[in-house]
Amino acid sequence: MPGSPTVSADPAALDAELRALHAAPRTAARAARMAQLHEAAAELMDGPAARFHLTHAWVHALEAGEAAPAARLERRLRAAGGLGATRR
Amino acid sequence: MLDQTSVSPALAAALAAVRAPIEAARGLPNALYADPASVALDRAHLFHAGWVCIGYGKDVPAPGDAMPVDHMGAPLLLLRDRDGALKVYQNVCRHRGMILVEEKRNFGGVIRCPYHSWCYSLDGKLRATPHVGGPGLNAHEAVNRDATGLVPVRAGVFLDCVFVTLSPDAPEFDDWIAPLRARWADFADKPLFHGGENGAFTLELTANWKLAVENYCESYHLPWVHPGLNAYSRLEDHYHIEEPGAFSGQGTVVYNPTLDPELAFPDFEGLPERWDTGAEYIALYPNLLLGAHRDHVYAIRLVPDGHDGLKEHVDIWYASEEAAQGERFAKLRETNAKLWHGIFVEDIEVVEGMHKGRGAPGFDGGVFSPAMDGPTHCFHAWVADRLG
Repeated sequence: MPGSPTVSADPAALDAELRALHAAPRTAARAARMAQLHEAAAELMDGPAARFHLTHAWVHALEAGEAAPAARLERRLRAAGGLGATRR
Repeated sequence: MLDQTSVSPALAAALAAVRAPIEAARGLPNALYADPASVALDRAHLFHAGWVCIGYGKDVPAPGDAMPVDHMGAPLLLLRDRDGALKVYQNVCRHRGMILVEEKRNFGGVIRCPYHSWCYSLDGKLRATPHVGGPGLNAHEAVNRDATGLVPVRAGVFLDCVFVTLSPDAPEFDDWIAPLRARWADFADKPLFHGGENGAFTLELTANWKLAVENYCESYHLPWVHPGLNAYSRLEDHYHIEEPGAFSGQGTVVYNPTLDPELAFPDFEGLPERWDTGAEYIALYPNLLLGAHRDHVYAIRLVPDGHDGLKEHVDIWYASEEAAQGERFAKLRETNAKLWHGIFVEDIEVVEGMHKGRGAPGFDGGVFSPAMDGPTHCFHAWVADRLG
């Protein structure tokens, strides 16, 4: 599994690790790491960009089967307006 | 003679001859074996219209295990949910029809579609629809998650064999399996333990799958094709099994092979005396060939590959975990698997030979021996009835 247990605050480093993981086998560990990286990316942004990364972090946390991170990210996403039904 | 999924007048006439009493009947016409168009008929009338075995419980032993299955072109997903129950769904995302799972694996969390990442719980519910309302907006009123889960497929389990039907007109599974469950009630609820690596092998044949069924369900060929059986199992020691519309096969009253002079597999508990030297071999239409013995059962799952190709997936189960996995029985399992492998390989020549024979212009399906070919005619009549 590429990547390190810590999460960089450098956008370029985050992007590089996400790209590397994109090609890795779809394991639960990969999903959990992608959730961490996207959540870290969300911290570096605000507004729609942050919500975009929170969405990815939430999806990958669901994929990893980690209930606590998934629930936490779902609350954050809901608070950010990412889970209300839209009409357009 | 064949016209996609409908039955032409010429085929209907041939099928009427199949349904005649065995003394006057003819076998299925050449086209149902040798014409590539027979695949569409088989799919529509035989494989997608009734109950068919697609795999085994042992294929997905742990919660979260999932195995994709190509069921004659229909992509299915066999999985074991968090509570340990077997489920079968269509292996297709409800969004754009993308295949969800490409290879056997375990899901610790949701099943995420690789296309737009719609996510499904193991109970089939649509759990997440990322960006469905626009970037970062993960819900849309036009997409009702409660009504957009994975499409469940009707499924049932008997002797660890997982059966499905794609037809809303098929009977309830318990009703469909009832005749075999009743016949093999002695085995029906026994725990089965798969033999692992020494309990599975696959054979590939150049033949239409129906010929493997026909060969399996009759004992007429045994003394000629399997001369090794003559030492302990004479032709007159066998009897026919015929359940019209469901299965046919044969049984023996002298099953008693000695695989090892000093070691034997344990028997299934509580079997009646008749199984001490009895064994039965049944073709459950369309695609499952089963063998039941006091100490092991096996299944041969037929997977057609076009009209002239066939994979036979053979799996063997034993009566205890030690018999199936223990080191003490390892050599015996290997010997048992070799015994069956050798017998099934002996069948390949005649199954492939019958397939080649279906290229003979004007072959009329052949005649049946009323004394010896009842189980084969039973299968032919089932095919004829299903084709209409």
